[in-house]
Amino acid sequence: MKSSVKLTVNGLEQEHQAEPRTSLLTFLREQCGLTGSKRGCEEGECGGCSVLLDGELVTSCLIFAVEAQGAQLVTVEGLGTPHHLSPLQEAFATDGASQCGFCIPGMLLAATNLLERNPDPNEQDIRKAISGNLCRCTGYDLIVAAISMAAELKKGARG
Amino acid sequence: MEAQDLKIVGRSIPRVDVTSKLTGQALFGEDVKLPGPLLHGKILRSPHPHAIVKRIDTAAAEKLAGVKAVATAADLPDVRIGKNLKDEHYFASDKVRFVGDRVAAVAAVSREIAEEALRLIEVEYELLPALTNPIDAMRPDAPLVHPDLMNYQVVAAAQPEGGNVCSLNSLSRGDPEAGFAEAHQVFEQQYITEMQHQAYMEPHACLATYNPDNTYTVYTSTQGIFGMRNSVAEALGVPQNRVKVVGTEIGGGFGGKIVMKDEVAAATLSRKSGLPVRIVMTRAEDFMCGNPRAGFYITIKTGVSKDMRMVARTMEIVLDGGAHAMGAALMCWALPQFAEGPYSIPNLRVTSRCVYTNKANSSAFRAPGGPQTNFAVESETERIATAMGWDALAFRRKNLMPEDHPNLAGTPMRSVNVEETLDAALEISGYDPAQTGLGPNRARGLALGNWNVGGMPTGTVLKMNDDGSANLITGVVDLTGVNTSLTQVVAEALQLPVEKVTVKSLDTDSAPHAAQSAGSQTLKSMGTAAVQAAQEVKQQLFELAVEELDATPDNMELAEGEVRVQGSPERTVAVRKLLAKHMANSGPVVGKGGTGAFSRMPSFCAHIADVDVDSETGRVTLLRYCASQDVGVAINPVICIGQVQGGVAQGVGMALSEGLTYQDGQPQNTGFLDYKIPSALDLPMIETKLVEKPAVEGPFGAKGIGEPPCVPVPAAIANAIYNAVGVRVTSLPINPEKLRRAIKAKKEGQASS
Ligand code: FES
Ligand code: FES
Repeated sequence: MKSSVKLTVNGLEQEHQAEPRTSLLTFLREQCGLTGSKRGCEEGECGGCSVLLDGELVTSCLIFAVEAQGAQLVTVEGLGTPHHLSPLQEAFATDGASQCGFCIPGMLLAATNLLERNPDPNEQDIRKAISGNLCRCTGYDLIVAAISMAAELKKGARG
Repeated sequence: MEAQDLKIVGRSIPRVDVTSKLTGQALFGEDVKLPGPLLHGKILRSPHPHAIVKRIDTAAAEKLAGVKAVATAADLPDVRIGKNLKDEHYFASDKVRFVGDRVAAVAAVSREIAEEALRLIEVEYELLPALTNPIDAMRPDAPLVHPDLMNYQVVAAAQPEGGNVCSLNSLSRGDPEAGFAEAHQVFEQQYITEMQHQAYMEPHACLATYNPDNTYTVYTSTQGIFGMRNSVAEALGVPQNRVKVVGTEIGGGFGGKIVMKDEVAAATLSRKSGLPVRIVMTRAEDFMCGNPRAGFYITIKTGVSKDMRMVARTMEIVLDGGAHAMGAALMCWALPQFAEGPYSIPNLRVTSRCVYTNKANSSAFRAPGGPQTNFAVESETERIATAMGWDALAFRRKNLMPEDHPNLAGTPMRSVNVEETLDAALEISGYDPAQTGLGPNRARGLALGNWNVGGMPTGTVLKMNDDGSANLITGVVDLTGVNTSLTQVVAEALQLPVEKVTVKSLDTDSAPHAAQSAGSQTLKSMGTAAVQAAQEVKQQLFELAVEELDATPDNMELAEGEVRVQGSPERTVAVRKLLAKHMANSGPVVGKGGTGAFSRMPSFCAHIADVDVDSETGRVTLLRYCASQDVGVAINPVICIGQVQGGVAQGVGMALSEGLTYQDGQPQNTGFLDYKIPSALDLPMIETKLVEKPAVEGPFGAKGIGEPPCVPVPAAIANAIYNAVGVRVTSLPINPEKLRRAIKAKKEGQASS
């Protein structure tokens, strides 16, 4: 009953076998070997497994891998490299936005998605955008500040 | 402490682990990969809160295709384990004592098959009445959770009283009863708090292998690799050198990742199957089988004099310990030492009892016992001031603890920066005691807090490399940024740029013993050890330089990669050159450092919450939050600020929404849908002020600060709610339902009177 699932993750094509009930999260973590997306609850409540699927923010624990057939995915591993962080990652680093870091992959994707939709968000926009991503360490302040700094940086870059 | 000229300590350098965390490369508990196939383990947990286990039959599960091993109590030595009191079997053998108690384990080629196998294990239970409340559990006719309690071996801290009371501690000074008799007024009130789960974002996860040389390797997300190793070795019945624990990156702990969980099951299944076994808890399992903050029942009685002094106080505290003593027994022992809060009361008695119930095992959660007792103490401060017509701020100031105030254990409290800390919070918030109201149903509330930070035995090794750079080896888990702060401490001590210092957390085979990352003492203990190791390194380098510099070691200093003669900057030799020249004869330069336990010293905080109460729904909105924190010296200010804000957020959860609830021993809220922790929309910006005044202990005068910031939050919010709507809620959490009822009751009371 396994079937072949082919999709593109961070620009690389991936094709693996999946059971009909295998979640996209498990597929990414165990078949593709990309463990950056986090399994925090498997109930769609924590946001740790957030990825971009054809440009939309989704919780990958609630989607079956077979449903993502042919999709374009972006995970945390696709945002920047250790040597070349994305401006958003840079802002998180300088602002001290990451503590244990477990929520951070999901936060980064929620923030990426926000900044694509709204390049000039205010504090409330940012809080709303990450309200599906729980963080137990930071109290969110430094995360909100980092996202807002990234928006500023992007604006500066655009001139 | 003298003024210090610090270059690297005090700077907010980015955390050393930040890039791996931002790029998804950091390997957390479930992310560990080994070559070759891997089995998935699952645990059969008791569905009953209290029952005798009459029979376990695993035959059908073992026969299921894809199942590679099944483990039960029969696979382990018949020993009771426990760090304070030996009251637990790793797998339930005689009885199950809470919903989630471990009965058996299965390893299979997939999670689905492992789950299927669990359903095939037959267990015959004889149900017993369940206790879900420690007050009921103390009644003489209550069923006994551990009928054999008085025969259990006590390891540390626990002092069994009998019945269901697994530990009792009482300390006092003066004569509280005489104090009450002489007092101008006496106040008494009960406060109740619920079990709070740490709700770290990463559920418990581990992977174990049994190796061909008859050793075990356990990868696990834990706060302390040595404590974990010792527990695993004890349960497996093997010497500690045969277990290697590798700490993975840890996705939050807050005290909930100290006690051993499914590691021994994974190790046993690996031994039986010959393959590595990974066990990851579901979120529901983690809520059910974690080690939450104990629920407290506190009866607090206070006598005050006419001139605003607290002259006598008693606190009778009952802790809901859950099914096994664990960390709650330690907390029970420690409570009387800090429950006095930031005050000084001449006649004081604090009695704490840790009581077994048929619920999850309570243990440590950020400042264990702190927020619960503080909720009672700081609510009472305001309640008494209101009743007496006093200014609550003046009442506080009159009773603050002075420097060298002995706590109930007789230890003098040093570096008491409580007044400075209070003033700092007042200043950032603009708090005016005469004007706490901010408009209809809006007000401001204040609470002071303290937490005593000790230190635990910890060692480290500092290696000088040929090029003058250095590596610090530790066995500490980097939970809160400690490796970043240690990098700064070593760089400062050796006068090296941070790029030339690497701090690594290694495994139990490779690193000297280190304390767990807990108790706010991680940096204090390990930083002190690191400073010592740096002193040794310096001493060795200075001795090597005697010939070159024609000077004695006590006239030398280290700067910019050179040994220099003090006062003669031209007489220098590069460390690199010294090492190149002398290594062949004198051997490598390696420093060791180590500390024993420190006594516990206080860190203070003062919080001011601005709230809006919806009097129809009972919903509380935080408008603003200001927190000051006594830090001694901030090694890395941004890390300190992050600790304060995170601590406040957890306190807000405890104050307004969080509580594990049980019905007839069955847990009711085991997911984030029902167990609500604050989201970004539930919190305002948390304005933070670090109060710096070097402490007498700790590296460069740094205090422990991880835990204190959650302590005063529930009281500050409860006080704000009172100031907003005139209702004093004496139990946590103050959820909308409870507050709505209280507001309604008050209105009806007014209408009828
Ligand atoms: S794991 Fe998907 S939302 Fe929590
Ligand atoms: S940084 Fe730990 S959960 Fe967000």
